[in-house]
Parts: sequence; C-alpha cells; structure tokens
Amino acid sequence: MNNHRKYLRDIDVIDFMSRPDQFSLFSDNRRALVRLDIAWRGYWHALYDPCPSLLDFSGDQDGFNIFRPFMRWGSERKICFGWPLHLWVIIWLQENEMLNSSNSEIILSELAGAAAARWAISDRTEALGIAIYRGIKQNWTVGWKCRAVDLQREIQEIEIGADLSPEDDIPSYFLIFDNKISVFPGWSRIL
Amino acid sequence: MCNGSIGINFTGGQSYSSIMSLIDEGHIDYVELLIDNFLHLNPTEIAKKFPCPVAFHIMQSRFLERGEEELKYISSRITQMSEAFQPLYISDHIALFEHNGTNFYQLAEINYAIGSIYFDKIRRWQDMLGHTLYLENYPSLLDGSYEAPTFFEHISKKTECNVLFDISNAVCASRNTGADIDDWKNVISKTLHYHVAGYTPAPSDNNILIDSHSEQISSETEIFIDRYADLFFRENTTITYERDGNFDYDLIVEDLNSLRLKSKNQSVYNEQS
Repeated sequence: MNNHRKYLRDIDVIDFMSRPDQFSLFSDNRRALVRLDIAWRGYWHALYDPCPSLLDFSGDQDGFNIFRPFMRWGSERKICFGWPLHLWVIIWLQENEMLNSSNSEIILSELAGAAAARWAISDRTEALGIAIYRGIKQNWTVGWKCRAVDLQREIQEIEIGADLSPEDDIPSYFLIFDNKISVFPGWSRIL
Repeated sequence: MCNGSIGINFTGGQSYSSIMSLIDEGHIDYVELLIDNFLHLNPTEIAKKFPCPVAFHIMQSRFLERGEEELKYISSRITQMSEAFQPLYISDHIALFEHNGTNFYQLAEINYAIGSIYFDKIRRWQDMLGHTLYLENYPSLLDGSYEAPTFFEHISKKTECNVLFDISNAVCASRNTGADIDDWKNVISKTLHYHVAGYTPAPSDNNILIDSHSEQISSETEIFIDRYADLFFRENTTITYERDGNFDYDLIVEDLNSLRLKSKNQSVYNEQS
C-alpha cells in the first residue's frame, strides 16, 4: 500500500451523492466525479425507468426539467428517496400545479405503480401487499409481493365502491397482511 | 457436492423457467436464492420448486442500519428457511444503503479505516442467523479498495464470519483504483464460497467498471480465476455465477461451461499430481 497517497473513499463523497450542485467540489478527481455520477444516475433510473410517460412529460430528452428540481426539493425536505420516491413526485407535481386533466391519469398511474413495485421488492416486513391512494378517488393502486417463488410481483388498479380518500387528498398508503384486502385500516402518510 | 460446484443466482420468478432448464441440462449444481425476496413465502412451498441444493444470499438485511426488532423478524424467517433447506452457505452484503436518512440506489462502500466499529453488528447479525455468515467484498470505485483485503481478513479473525469472495468485484476494484488484486490471496484461500459475474464500463468513463451482472465474464476475470484455480476449485468450494441483466440463455451456458471446464481441469491436475 502506498502510504504517501491521499486516499479518497466512498465515505468522503457520500454526503454529495444526491447533490449534483456540489459535484464541482471534486472537479480535480476524475474517479470521484464518476462515482458521484453513478450514484446520481441510480436515482435517475429509479425515477424514470418504470415511468416513461413522466420522461415524455418532462419535455426534454434527459428528463432534467423534472429530475433536477425534484431532487433538489426532495433533498431540502429531507425525504428518504426510499420506496415512496414516486409518490413524492406526485406531491411535487401537485405543488407545482403541473398536472391537469389531460395528463394526470397515465402519469399518476405510472408513478403509483412504480411506488407499489418498489415497495413489493424492497419491503422486508410480513406484509404481503400495499394499497396506495394516488389522488384518484375510488381507484387505488395495489401492489403484491410474489405469491410463489416462480411468480412475479403484481400491480393492480382496483375500483372502490366508496370514497375512502385521505382527508388531505395527498398520496397515502396502507399495508395488507392477507392475500386480499379484507379491511381498511386507514391511510398512512409517506415518510 | 464436489470440488468447484457451479451455481447460479435466482432473484425472482422472471428467470425461473431458465433456471430449471439449467438444472435439467446439468449446467449447474445448485441455485443461490436471493432469500430475502421470498421471506413472506412458505419455505416448504419454495423447497418444492427447487429440486437441487441451494445457497442463500441476502440483499436487503441492511444489518448495519436496521433496528433490532426488524432484524429479529428477518433473521427468524431466514432461520426457518434455513431449517427447510440446509443451505450450502448464507451470505450478505456489508455496505451502506443509506446515509443521514437518504437511501441510495447504488450501494456505498463502508469505511474500512474505522472497520472495527462494524464488528459488533456483524457478530450480532451472525448470532441472529445462527449460521456462519459470509460477507461479500465490494466492487470499489474509490480507494477503499486498498484497505478492503485487510479488513475482510480481520472480519474473519474478529467475528468468526467468513468472506463470500466476489471474483469480478475484486477485478473491478483493482482495475478502477490500481489496488493489487493479489492482496486478496489470503481471503481467497480461507473461504470456500465465491461469486463471479460480468461487469460494464461506467456511462461517463469507459475506464471505470461497474459490477452490472449483465455481461459475460471478462477475459481479465478468466485469467484471474486461472491463476488461483487451485484455490477456487478445491474441496467443497462453490462458485455462483450472477446474471441479472441481458439474460441470454446461450451466453449464460457459455460462461457456465467455461467455469465447468476450469473445475474439471483442476480436478484432473489434482489427480495427476
């Protein structure tokens, strides 16, 4: 090991992985910039890969019109960028009044489906499914973990015969601990 | 199981039929289940679907970061699975999944320079699992690569866990940083379980390699395997081929056949000497 070398480890750049406005701090270290770029692309792919309509909606090929301001907003609000990532995008789109009757249905559907899918592959509790309110009254997105080892997770949209929307009408969820929705335990806020 | 058993990773239903074909055609000896993807399922039902030995790999225990109660639940389920399967090994990742409440979509490397602070958590997680824990080395992009071999040697001494040595991760780390790949020799000689996969150039710099599991095994990795074939293919060793992207059956078989040939050649060499 070369003891005279100045080492730069992941831990030295870790505070900046979701902050591209700070990448220039490492402009003299090519590998650090590549490391940060890889971290940053991880968020981009997590956001857009399951949501092609959102990428179209962004109006630019690289999606930065949405991605950059959303990530900045998310960092400032200290959201965790975990499975509810796409539900936070809904909130951000609503706050910025970017949704209207012509675009909201498919975008909300994709975003809530992406959140449900992310939950289904990352949750490690005993829950079997998740129901998500995405802002469409009486229509929920439901995600199920795989029902057998040779099957894949399932994402559904289901009609509800009653208006059980959350009081503040923002994206919310509840977990399902059975193979079907047999009770409505009330909505939880995303964190 | 024999010397240098060859297996493949299984993460979910999308590749199930291909994995079954690989078993039926004799290309693999065992399947490595990404077990925490299936914690909600009945172990007996899973076992019925895999008519071969299995190993367990854990992706999302996040044992450095999770609280006690969540880890207890996860470990209790893995223990139940373990009783049903008697896995060849149980392995996990030692990495950072989040920092200051922000999740990563590309895991970050731990700080080996302060490695001893992780030992208690490793011991606790291994105790919960009730099974020797094999921890995987990281495909470094930055200079943690220089400290990793020593850290993983210390892990074994201080916690009685072992190392799941990822061959191609070590190749990536060496290529990315210049760290001497032969610094891993002690680790290689002390574990029985290995991973190997293909890697991909980083989008913004072709000289930096990312552990992508979406390409075939590189010639550089092949050369490294050949150099330590006497260790990789000794008694009771396993090599799991990881493939998560570009799941091309014929190309996968090509890689598996190459590994099988190396294993057979080493057996012949051992018999002759």
